Amino acid sequence: MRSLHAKAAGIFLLRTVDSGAPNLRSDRDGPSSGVQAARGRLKHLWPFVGFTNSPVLVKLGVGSMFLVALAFALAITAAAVGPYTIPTSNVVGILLEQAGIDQSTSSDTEQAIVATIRLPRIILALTVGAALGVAGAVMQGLFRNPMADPGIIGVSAGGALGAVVAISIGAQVVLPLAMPAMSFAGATAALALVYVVASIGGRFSMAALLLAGVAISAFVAAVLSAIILFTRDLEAQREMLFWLAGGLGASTWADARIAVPPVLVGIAAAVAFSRDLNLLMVNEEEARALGVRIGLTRNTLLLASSMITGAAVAFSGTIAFVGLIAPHVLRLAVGADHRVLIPLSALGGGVFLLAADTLSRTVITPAEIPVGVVTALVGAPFFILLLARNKARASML
Amino acid sequence: MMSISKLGYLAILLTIVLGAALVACGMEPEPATSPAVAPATAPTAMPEPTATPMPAPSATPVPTATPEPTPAPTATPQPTATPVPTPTVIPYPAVSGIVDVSNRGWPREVETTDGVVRLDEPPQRILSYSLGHDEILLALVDKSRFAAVGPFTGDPAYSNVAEHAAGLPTFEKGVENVLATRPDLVIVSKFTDADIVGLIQEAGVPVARPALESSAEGNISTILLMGYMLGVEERALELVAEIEGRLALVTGRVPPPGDPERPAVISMTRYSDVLYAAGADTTEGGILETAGGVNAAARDGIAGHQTISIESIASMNPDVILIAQPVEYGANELRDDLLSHPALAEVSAVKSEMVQVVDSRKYTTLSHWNVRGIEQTALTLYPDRFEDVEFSDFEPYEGE
Repeated sequence: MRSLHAKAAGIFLLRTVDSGAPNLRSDRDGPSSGVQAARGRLKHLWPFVGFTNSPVLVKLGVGSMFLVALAFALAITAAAVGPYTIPTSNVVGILLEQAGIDQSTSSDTEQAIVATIRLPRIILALTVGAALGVAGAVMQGLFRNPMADPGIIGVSAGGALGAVVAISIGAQVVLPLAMPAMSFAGATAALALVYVVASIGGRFSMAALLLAGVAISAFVAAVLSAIILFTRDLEAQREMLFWLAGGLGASTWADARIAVPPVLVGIAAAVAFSRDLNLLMVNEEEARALGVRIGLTRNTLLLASSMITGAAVAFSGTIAFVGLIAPHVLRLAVGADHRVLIPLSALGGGVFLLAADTLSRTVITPAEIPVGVVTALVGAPFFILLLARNKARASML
Repeated sequence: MMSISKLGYLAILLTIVLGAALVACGMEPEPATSPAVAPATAPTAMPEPTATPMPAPSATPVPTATPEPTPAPTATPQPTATPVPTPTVIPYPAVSGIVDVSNRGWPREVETTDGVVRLDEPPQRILSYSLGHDEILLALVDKSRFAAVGPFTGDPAYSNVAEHAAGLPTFEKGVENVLATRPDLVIVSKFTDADIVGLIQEAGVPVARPALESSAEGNISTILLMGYMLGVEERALELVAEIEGRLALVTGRVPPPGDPERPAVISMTRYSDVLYAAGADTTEGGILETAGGVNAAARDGIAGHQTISIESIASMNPDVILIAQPVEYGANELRDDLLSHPALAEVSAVKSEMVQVVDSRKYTTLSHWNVRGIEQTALTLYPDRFEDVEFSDFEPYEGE
């Protein structure tokens, strides 16, 4: 069975290094060797691994607790640091007041900085990171391609095109939310177009979808370049370029309120279909035989990942590497079972982006570095290190 | 076996080829029939003059408005023994880029980053790539000496000389478009590709790249270099004298550097909801410092134009915030947002409502017009010290 899994999902780079393909029967037939290995890794983190008969739940529980604790600690740190120095006790007081627990004695400026600048930015970083992490995990599974990320089927490019069009027609001047709305519309339109192109000829296939995605991405990128080049208005050109650079510097509570619901819905949908995604990854025929509704699963996952990517791009611009790094790192830690991987990718992506954003605004304070630069600078070497360590470990076995 | 008819064709063909070769020998490039100027480094085998037609000197004489000191004023010899007045050649500073400042005749040579450029005669069809160069050029020479101006020179949102440049042709990007304007001197910016410079030079047009500095003082040497290139040294010296006079007036009345009386100032913009501050080594930063302020962004470690957050403004606590962004692109909205943001309520500039939208053209250009930005800022920071002064814009060159 194990070899069948590996063959079916053979191009998964990390699968050959890690514990193996998703264990479809782990709940019923006991843990596989991969799960045993995972247990071994997790034992030192969580002592109750052996007390349950569901390794999936254990991995999910332990991983979630670890990442939630990490996210919480990071969020507190992010709320406490910044160009404006605020004593930690005051930050804690402000956070408690925000939670409705206590009354803060901090100055109005300190309260405003924590409550209206840092907190919405933290929430948005967690949200966008979660969206990109889940979208990456789903895309990598659906396409059985370790290099897949939210940009692979043109969704990010579509979102960017929507935002650039909004700037070129001046829509964001008239309506404050026109840019995120048009960005989201662009992402959705790109997905629909890719889907239609992939369905030409009557038979839909993931390979056709991938190729259509690459083609549409290239097309949209060309349109983007043309719009920027032919915009005579220098200021509009600047707006476009600065937006494309991405970032979370302008986050507000209004942004967070709009971004969070679709991302949560999308993640919930992806989690709901995670078991079916496991089966799809092995073999479509086998999955069909086991009762998986192939079309429904595939379409739901595509729609969900596109929706959350569109929501993320709309508020942060295009931030690279999160959708690639978070699922891969987590796959190395907990295996490839999407029932665990997808929810943990949400938490891991959020933690990664929050850490990167906190670094981006504190390393050269009072100036900021684009968060995409940090995700690439920190993420790429870390990813290479993990790869090298695991390859070395695999060669010793 | 080759037939007779084929041999005949071959003979005809050979005749044609030989004839063409002979004709070609007779069409050796003419020794510079009349290009007004030619790059010293241009290979002689390069384009023939007819490929890139240049205005003949006789067709476009040197404007009398810019008289050159005649090198040999012996046309009026003195019959008596009274001392002969020596020709008054105005002393000219040997700024970087002038190969031999003692050479005040033609041809003359200048050297910029793309090599030595030889100018046989004063250029009469000038084309420049950048707004800063155009602003300087329009202060030095008559409009009739322009082949074309850059795309932003006529745009009042960015250009300080838009009104004066009205009616001048502009050029589109691309070497062909540049050459189509028949320039006899192309002035490129520091961002122009070396490949483009090479292509223009290969077409026989001299190309110079005078450096534009991010400070008004720094551009004085550029103005002098350009004045020499164009043969308008006297006008360049006048402009430099005006710049120095204006700067001396401001710096003489504001507190010297290091004086605690100097207020903390930041110059900022907002694009795509992201805030940017001008730190050290920026045009705006130089303007603030020369005008008697302390650039708070540079003081706190920002170099260049960097992204900042609202909270960064609170941490810098400036006494004055200048918004150097066109009004039509959200400068007033940014001002309102800063004044109403709860995190900035305690910032000195907000409390005293010293958040001002300034004429961004004078802060973002790279030319002597930055001096107007200095004057504007000095007036904002120290209104009492300039009550008796009425600052005015630079006048464009209008001829003698």
